[in-house]
Amino acid sequence: MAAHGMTMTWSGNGSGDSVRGSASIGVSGRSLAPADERSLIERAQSGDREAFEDLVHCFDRDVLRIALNILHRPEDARDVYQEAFLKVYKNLPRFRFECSFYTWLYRIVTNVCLDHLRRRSSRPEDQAPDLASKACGEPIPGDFFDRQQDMAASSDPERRMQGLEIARRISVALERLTPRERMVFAMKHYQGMKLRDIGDALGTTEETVKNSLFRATRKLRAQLEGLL
Amino acid sequence: MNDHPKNPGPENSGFGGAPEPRSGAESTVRTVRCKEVESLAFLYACDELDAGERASMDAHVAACPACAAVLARDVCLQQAVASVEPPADSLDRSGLLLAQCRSELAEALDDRQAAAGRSAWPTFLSPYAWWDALRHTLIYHPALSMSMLLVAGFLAGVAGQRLPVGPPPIIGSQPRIAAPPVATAASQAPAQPRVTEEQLRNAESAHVAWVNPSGSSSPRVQVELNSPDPMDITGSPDDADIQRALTFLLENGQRFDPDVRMDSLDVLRMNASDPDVRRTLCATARLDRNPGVRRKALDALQGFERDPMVRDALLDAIESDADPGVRVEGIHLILSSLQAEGAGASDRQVLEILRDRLHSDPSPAVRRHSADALQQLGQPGQ
Repeated sequence: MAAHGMTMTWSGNGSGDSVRGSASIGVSGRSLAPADERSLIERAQSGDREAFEDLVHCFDRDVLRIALNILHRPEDARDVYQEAFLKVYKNLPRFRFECSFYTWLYRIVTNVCLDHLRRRSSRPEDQAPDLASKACGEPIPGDFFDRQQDMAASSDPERRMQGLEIARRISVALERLTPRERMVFAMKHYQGMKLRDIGDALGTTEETVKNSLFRATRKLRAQLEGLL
Repeated sequence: MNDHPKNPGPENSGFGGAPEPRSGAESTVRTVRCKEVESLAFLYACDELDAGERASMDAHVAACPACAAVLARDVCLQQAVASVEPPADSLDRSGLLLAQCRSELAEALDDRQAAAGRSAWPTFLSPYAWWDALRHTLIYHPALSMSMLLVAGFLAGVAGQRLPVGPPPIIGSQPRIAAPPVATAASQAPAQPRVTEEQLRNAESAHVAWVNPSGSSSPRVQVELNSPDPMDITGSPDDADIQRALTFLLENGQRFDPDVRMDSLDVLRMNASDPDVRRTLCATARLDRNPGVRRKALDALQGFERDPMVRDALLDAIESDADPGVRVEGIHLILSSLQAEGAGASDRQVLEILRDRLHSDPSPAVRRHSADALQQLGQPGQ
């Protein structure tokens, strides 16, 4: 679980309407020179569809990764991917280069993820934890290589079983967190962000983030009781 | 547990109450009290304490076994969480999900642009604006809605009485619609589409068959749409209604059997010179859930590989289709197109993709075909 150095300062509503600040984030798909990135964005802002798609392709791996880490479901991550980039498409003309494009994008993505988690939490039938079932020994979805890598994850059967059980319980525990707690947990532990950056991304204070993470950790601890 | 704290020292960080912002200058030692350890331990474990706070915790737990146990528990929990692979690592190893996302986004953007084109009409001329205005009027004026409904019913009754009543039209060489009264009216007004959007939407299943074979001098095809109001239309493959119905069958593939979609492709491929038909074929090659249908859609695009849209669809299929057979089909088509153009060795994008497939495709067949293609293009893969 790699941690990425990241500092961000911004304000805005996450829909791209008003975001100010500066950012340097050590998480990026394909690196573009700042001048190239600016030129690409300007072309996309002027309605150049090809430039917009190039821009998407520079950042979309990270966006999908964030969505998968937060939502744990490919189908939801697909929805987030599309919704986030359509928001970007709609609001791009209003992007004024007052922060890095990635910062602006990250905020949009996290807001869309949060909306998804909230919608999901209001649909009890929609809360089966996919990763938990995977860890329980059910057939592993994906292609041949996915399966091979999973099977080869650990050659020590006992350790592998314990690892699977931990993964299952964590997955179950995550399903029981509130959307905000879950977001904070994923951003901290899977995206490797600092609490301050998470607060910036979610438009809240570091203290609120800390409280959310504390509650999430407590619930997780209860879930893993007896296993550690 | 490896990270068990050892060094004593007096310090406190105010989590849970009113924590002070931390900076390097503030990293002085404060006293940590036992009641604070619970809330500081998880921050310690996930590396969110500054050096001073960390030292304070270390000092406290070194002297307090109960708090040391609390900290050990949180560090252990942190290690357990860290040992679990992030979901993103396991959910899209092959990159297929990313390819699907890109494809869906491209479609959504197409829709947006098409909608933007429609809204470019002056507002007062736009049929959408008129429809919106009417809708809102009816929603917010129920009495008016009721009156309009009565008037419409009355007019329909009067008009119904005046319509000629007789046997259904004889279906000969003219294209026909089986739905009785509407079809009669439609057949008398050839400018009207013979299949309405509603009829297409209501179709529960379909059947596509050649009346005259595709190789004959005047090929004709019959499309049956089964619904509560069943209908069929017959016409030549380039008949607008036939094309519209077949396009609908392909675009709503989840509702119709793969063999119906295959038959639809058989007919539509005869008009692949039409860019709209090619667009449908490309979308089918990308999105249909049945690999056989995707393969056939690619095959139907043969001869049009120079069209950027077709080329993209082919390259996407080679790079990211889940089915090895589709990837192989894509390789064959791109290879034959390059050979026909004599431009194989200069197309770096294709060569790169083929090399990538040669080295990283999970299917031995795809790797073999990639190697063959590179060989034939005079660029054996390294």
